[in-house]
Amino acid sequence: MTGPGAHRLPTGIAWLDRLTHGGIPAQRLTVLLGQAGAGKTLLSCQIAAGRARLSGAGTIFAALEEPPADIIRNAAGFSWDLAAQSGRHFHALDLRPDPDMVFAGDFDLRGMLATLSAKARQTGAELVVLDGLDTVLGWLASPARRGAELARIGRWLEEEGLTAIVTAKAERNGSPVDALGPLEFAVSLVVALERREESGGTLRALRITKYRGSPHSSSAHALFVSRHGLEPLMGPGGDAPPASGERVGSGMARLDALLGGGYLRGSTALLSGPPGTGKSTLAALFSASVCAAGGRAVHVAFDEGPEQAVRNMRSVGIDLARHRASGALRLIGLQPGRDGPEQLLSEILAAVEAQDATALVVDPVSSLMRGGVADLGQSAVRRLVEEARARGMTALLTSLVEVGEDPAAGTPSAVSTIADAWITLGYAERGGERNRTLSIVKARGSAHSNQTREFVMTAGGCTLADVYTAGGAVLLGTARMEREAEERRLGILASLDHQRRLRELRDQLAEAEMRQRQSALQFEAARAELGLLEAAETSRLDEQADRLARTAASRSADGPAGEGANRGAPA
Amino acid sequence: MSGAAIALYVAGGAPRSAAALRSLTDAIAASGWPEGSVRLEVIDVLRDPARALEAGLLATPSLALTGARGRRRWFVGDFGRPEMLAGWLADLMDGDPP
Repeated sequence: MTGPGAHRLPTGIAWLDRLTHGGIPAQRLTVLLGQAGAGKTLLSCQIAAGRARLSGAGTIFAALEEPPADIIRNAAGFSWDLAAQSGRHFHALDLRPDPDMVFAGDFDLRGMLATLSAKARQTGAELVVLDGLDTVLGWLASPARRGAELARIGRWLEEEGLTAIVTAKAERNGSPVDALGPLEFAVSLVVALERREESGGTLRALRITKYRGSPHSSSAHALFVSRHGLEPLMGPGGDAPPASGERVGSGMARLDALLGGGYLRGSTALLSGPPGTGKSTLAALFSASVCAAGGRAVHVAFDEGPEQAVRNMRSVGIDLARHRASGALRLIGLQPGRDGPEQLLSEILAAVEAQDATALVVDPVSSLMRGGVADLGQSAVRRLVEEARARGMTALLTSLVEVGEDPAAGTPSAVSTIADAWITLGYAERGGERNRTLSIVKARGSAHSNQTREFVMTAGGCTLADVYTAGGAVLLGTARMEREAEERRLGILASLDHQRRLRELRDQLAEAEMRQRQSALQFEAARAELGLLEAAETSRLDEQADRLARTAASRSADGPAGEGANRGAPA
Repeated sequence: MSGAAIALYVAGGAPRSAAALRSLTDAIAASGWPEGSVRLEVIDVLRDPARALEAGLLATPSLALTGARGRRRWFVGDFGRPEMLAGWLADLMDGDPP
């Protein structure tokens, strides 16, 4: 669509401008539909405040149902100060019909439009909110007449160069009540608001049911009320957390070492474990460490009051009172179950903003998720994590795992998927003793140790003990010490045994050498003897032959002597 | 009854405006009020929107009747049922505005 129809008026509410791809249609009619209490009036005031902030533009707020004073008072708790803007950017006009008004015959709304034109000229406003227009339209006899009057408002907007937001009650299913007639023709943008009370909190949602000539997201978006008004529980998504290599100390040097220097700044860590495993202690260590390093922390303690938290932590050598006194630490106690998750979320976010916090601790975050509506709780936690990332705030969320509960199910797993780091705390039972354990399940962006450590808490402070592995099992506590002693004893024995064996072998070797030398001597002696014997025999035979020859010569004997003669004869 | 004022708010010369004015003058005549006892003003809000703002006007045609005691009453519509207007004016004549 071209021309003024394609032109948009940014509302100054970032999430709404994102959903509507740029804002509400300029010089057109936008309808906010919803049941009583769905937030129609709130959203229209929020847009008015947003426009004023964005461009200094004014809004005429025609109150057709509620007294203007009530509307301004109801908005008093929000960050945009409607009362201060009243008369400058926010021009409330009490147009509530006289209850004694008598109707006779047909009429049109040109009277109201003339009133608004006069006010617009007087104030220079560009936006008109018709709050509760359905009451006035309801006076008209037929749907056709209602449609015609809506169309009249549409034409009037173009003529006057004004943009209008109409709030009107809707049926439970989100469709407009009869009073609005056929919205399709006269209205460019229809936003349906919903509010449902559940046992676990208030579910609010927003859906864009129509945006003529514009792409828009038509799915329902869960909302909650923060101090800025209506806000989506789910952030825009897709926004990568700021890649920070910076580390924030956990408050325990050895844990920092395991994490590769500490928690990543702007990341969210989950600390899960059964009761009494040291979650609150680690959480308080972190808060104190942040404050000691010049940061500002918000520490939310569920289940116990701030004073009790301070006392408990003092017993393990953590001084929270000092940081509270300096203002660096804002310690708040919230009651789970008293309010729904969306309300608790709102209070936490308000504290974070007021504190301008660099770190957030929620102990335990499972309290935020307690209640009937699991989705709402999960969304609240998700929102909290997104807010932390957007602010570059380092968050530590603890999560209670009931004894016997599968830690892979329930709260921890729901949070662990969005958390950047996940540390599990637990007990190891061995030898009639329970020892606290700590292991890092995941830590994005860190080369971390996946081995279980022993988490030691004393009045002097907290630290991690060396891991001791034996036979594939990690040993802790007394079992670890006993095992260490046993290993030492066995080691000495082994060493003695080794030395003895060594000595034996050396002896054997020496003996063998000796024997070898003796044998060699015997061998030499025998050979010498053999040589002598052979020499003696030769000489004896020679002598004998010589003697025989000499005898034969002397006797001139023949016969066998001839041989002897030949032998003895010169060659 | 002196001091009563009737203001008829109309939007230009729309058919509804003319019909309303006709019904009103007929009703006043029929009520038998003495001449000049009631001030009648016709306000065209298209020409004079400031008057609409002043009155906090919602619909046209509308009739605002201010009695002697300063109480303003609204009558909205083109008086498709003139007898209602006549009855109302008669009550006012009796000094007992509804």
